Amino acid sequence: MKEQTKLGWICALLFLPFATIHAQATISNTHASAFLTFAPNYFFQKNESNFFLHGQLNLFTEQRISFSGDAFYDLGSTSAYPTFNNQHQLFFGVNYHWRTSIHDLYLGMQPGIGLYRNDQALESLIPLAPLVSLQGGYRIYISPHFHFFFEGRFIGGQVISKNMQAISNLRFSAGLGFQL
Amino acid sequence: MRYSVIFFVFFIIFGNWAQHSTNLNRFSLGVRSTFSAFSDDGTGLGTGGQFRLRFTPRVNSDWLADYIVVNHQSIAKSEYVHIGWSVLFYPMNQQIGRFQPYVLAGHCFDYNKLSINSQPEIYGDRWGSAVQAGLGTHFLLSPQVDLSMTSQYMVHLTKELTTAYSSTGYTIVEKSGNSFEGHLLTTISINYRFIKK
Repeated sequence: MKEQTKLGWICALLFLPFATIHAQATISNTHASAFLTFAPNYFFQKNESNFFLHGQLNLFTEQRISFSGDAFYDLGSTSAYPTFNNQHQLFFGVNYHWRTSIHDLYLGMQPGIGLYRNDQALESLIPLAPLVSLQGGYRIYISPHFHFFFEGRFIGGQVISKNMQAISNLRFSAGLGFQL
Repeated sequence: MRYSVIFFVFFIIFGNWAQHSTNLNRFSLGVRSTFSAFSDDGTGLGTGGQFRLRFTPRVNSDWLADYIVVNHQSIAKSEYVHIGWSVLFYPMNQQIGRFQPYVLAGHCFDYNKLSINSQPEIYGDRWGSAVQAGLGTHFLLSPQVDLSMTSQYMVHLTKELTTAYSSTGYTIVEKSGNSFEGHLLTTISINYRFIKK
């Protein structure tokens, strides 16, 4: 009986968002949304991952189109000797959405710029690298003010300095966002 | 760097003027990613921005600024700043579905800085001029937003910088004579068209 109660609570918590969705109000075709979350990444050419603080501001100019600006702030690496001491990125671009009143699937592209620094004395004088991001994600609107999201992106680029660094990586973000 | 600031200010002022002095339907603003290839340097990636001013239904113009970083044979880092413009001509009167192809040609001011990877304090830089021409197409995501893909060859009308190896290591030297070298630039841009409502 105790196990059944526990299971009941888990099910209730899992389906709570969907129950809330049922009561949601219509979300405007043109609106802004934002989130702040943590994002891990995976580098293709080295066994290293980083964690980022990821902030996004998204502006829907019409039902299917949104412009988004993303900022990634490096919080640390899984490696004891990380390639970069600091690596922060900024992106701005467009997303194309397939939206219903609840579900939102999207694909997008963003040009960007990254700042990469390490401890090496002979690093590049201007540690900036042009980047390009291809992203896709899914949102579920749970109320007029909140949504859950999952987003994955490929970031392409390279840092040219004493040691060439291919910095192409996959990055994932998930969490709770809000409509402004 | 001083020239970059002057041109940036010029673009801001001109963009503002263009927005207010013409029909807003003719003005669009965008960001772009550029892949550089077939260069003596190597391959590279760039980020930039642009605005467009449409003169007639068949003639448009791109006003661009790009920062491109190229891996120069894994010896040096070659940084380019392109600030320029292109005229776009639409050969077809109508769109083909969501596509609208165009040919384009233009001119740009071109700054190049080449620095040795192992000793970045050893570098050379130059200002120059360049011309570019190519093909492209808009893909209309909506009446207001387009994704444009352009491939154009840019020829530098100036003496190129390159690396030379001596007993003391690598140095930066200027090639003798204008070589008309350049690079193939493939750009994907996202543009928002301001529509008067």
